[in-house]
Amino acid sequence: MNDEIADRVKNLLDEEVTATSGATASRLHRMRSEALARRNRGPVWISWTGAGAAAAGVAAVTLYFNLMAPEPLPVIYEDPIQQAAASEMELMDDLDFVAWLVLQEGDNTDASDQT
Amino acid sequence: MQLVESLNLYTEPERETTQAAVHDRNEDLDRFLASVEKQAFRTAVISTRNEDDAFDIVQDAMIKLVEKYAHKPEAEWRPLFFTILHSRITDYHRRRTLTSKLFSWLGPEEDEQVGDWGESLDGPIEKLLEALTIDRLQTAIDSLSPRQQQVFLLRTWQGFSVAETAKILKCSEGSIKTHLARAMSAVMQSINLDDEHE
Repeated sequence: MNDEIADRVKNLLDEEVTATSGATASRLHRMRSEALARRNRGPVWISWTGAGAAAAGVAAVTLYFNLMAPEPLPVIYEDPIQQAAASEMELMDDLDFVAWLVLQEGDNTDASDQT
Repeated sequence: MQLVESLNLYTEPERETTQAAVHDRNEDLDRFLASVEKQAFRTAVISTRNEDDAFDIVQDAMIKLVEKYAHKPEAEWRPLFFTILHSRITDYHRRRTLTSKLFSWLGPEEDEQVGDWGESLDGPIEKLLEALTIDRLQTAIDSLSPRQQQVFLLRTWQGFSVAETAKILKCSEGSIKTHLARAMSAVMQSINLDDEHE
């Protein structure tokens, strides 16, 4: 008897499925298409993994070039303009000294002549 | 295979063959899902009594089958699909139970289903079968516990064996038999009771 009841139950539920409304069928069809479109796109983790791998690659390359870059050379020469100005000042000091020396020598010569 | 596709590791002829295979697989999946979607939806409606929740459950089942099990042999899709579907239905009832427990202080608890699974039947089988309409069946199914509903639908409607139903619902075969016996009794009892009221 259980089999007969089960058959009756199955028939009743099958009839319900057959009588599914157009709106419901349409929504189910849309859901099915969306699910299949996901398969074509591939799982989300693949795109995230790709993006993660690309970001890690960029970071690794940046780090590599930072580590491998030569250290900056020590500053040996100062600014050439400053250097020129400094030597000019020394030259000016020397000229002053030379002029003073000439004057001194001139004074000494005059004094010895008078004596 | 999708990872290999995404990395463009195929030669052109391999790519064409693979794309054709994927296209064929998609057509098979489409045909399969079209063949079960209405039954799955009706099952979810019966179990949840809510069409929106039923749509969500069926959509989850479709997506999971397509994403995780499309590579499996086609013969395995049906039991896998119904396993996913009933797993989602079970999760749905667990969440509902948890929610109702959390908010039980707001009002009186719902009466639990008390199983009075009498086997007594009055009248010939033809009369009972005639009396069993979709509305009465729905009422009878509504009176079952969620697990009994699942067993009842998998066994009587979706045509799975006791062993397959046990595997789908992740419980013992003995438990399936017990649930089914109680569900059938409840259905028959409900027809009898309805007849007595008329």
